[in-house]
Amino acid sequence: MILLLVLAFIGMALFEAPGLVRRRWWRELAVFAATLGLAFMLSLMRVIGVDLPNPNKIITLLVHMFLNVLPT
Amino acid sequence: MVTVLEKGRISSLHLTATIAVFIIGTSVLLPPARDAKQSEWLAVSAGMIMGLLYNAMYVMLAVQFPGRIPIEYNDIIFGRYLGKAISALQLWFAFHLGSLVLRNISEFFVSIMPETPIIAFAVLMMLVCASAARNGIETIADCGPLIMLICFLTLFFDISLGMKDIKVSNYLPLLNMSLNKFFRESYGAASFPFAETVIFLMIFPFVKKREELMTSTLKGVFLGGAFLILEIIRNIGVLGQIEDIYTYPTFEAVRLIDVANIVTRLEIAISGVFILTAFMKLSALFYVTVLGSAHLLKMRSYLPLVLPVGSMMILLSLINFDNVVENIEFAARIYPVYSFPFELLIPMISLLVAKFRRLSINKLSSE
Repeated sequence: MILLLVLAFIGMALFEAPGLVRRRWWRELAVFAATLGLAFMLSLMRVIGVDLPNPNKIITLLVHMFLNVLPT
Repeated sequence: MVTVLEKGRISSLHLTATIAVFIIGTSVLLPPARDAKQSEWLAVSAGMIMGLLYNAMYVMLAVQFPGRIPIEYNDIIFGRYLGKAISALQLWFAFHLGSLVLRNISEFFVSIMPETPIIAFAVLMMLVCASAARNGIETIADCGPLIMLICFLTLFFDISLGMKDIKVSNYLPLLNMSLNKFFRESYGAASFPFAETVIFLMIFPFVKKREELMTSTLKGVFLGGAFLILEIIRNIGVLGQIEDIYTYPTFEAVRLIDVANIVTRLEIAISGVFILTAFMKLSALFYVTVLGSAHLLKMRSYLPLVLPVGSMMILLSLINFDNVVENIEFAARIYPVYSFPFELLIPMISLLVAKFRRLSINKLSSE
C-alpha cells in the first residue's frame, strides 16, 4: 500500500513538474511542491494508521456550541 | 484578472443546464427534507422557492462586479486581510462540499459492490473530474445539456413505468406537523441542494451574455428543482411510509418497477443518472476550488493545483464519515447550520456593502 502511494505521487510529480520547470514558473512549482508534499504527508499518515482529525467532527462541535437546541 | 486563468466562455443554455444538473447531483441520491415524511415534496417545493430567492441574490451580486470572481472582490468589500480570510473560507466550503459529494457517490457504489474498497471508486471518480477540471469550464459546461437530456428522459420513463405502483393514499395525511418543523425542513432543502449554487458565483463571470444571467440561472434552479420534486413525489407514492427508511429511496423505487416480468431491474438506468449528475457537481466544485486557490495564491495557471488538491479531496472524503448513517445525520442536522454563513451571510453582506458604498468594477481597477 505504501509502495502504491509513493508510486502514485511520483507519477503525479513527473506528470506536472517538467512542464513547470521548462516554462520557468518557479512560483507555481513551489506551490505545486508544497501542496503535493502536504497531500503526500497526510495520505502516508492515513496509510500507516495515524488518526487524522476529522473536520466534520470539528464542524459538528462548532455547530453544537453555537446552537444548543440541536439534539446531540 | 480572472481571464488570465480561464479563457473559456459559456453560453446561457450551458449555464442553465449546468445549474440544473448541479442541483440534481447527489440530492436525487440522498433526498433532502426526509423528516417531513409524506409531505417531503411540499417541503422541497418551499425550499425551491427559497432557493430561487437565494439565487436571485447571487446573480445581483455577480452583476455588481461583472467579469470578476469573489476572490477578487472580497478584497475590496472586506479589506485586504479579512477579504483573504473570507476567500479562504469560501474555498474551504467548495472543497469540503466536493469531498462530501465524492463520499456520497462512492458510498453508493459500495452499496452495489460491497466487496470493493471505497477508495477504488473515489480515485476513479476523481480522475475523471480532475481531467474535466484541467480542460476548463467550457468542457464541464458542454456536458450540461447532454446530461440534462439523459436525466429528463430517464425521469419520464421511470415515472411512466412506475405509475401503476403509485398509491394516492400514501400522500395522506398532508402536512401533519408543526409549522416550525415544516420551515426547518424546507430550510434544510433550501441549503441542500438549492443554495449550494453559491459556488456558481465563480462561474458567472465566464457567461457570454450578462443580461441573460438572471433568467438562465433561475431557469436552471427551477428545472433542477422540478426534477427533484417529481422524483420525490414518485418515491412517496411508490414507497409510502417506509420511504425514509431506505438510504437511497429513488434507487429502491425504481427497483420495484416490473412490467410483465420483462421490463425489470431498471435501477441501473437511474444509477447512470446518479453517476452523471455527481460527476457534474463534483467537477464544478473541484474546478471552483482549484481556480479560486490559484487566484488566491496569485498563480499564472490553476493546472498545477489539480492533482494535489484532487488527492487531498480523496483523502478528506475517506475520513469524512465512518458510515452512511453519520453521513445522513450530518446532512440533515449539521449541514443546514454549517452552510448558513457561506450560502446566506457572506453573499448578503457583500451585496449590501457593495450596494450602499457603491463599490463596483471601477473601484477595483483603480486599486
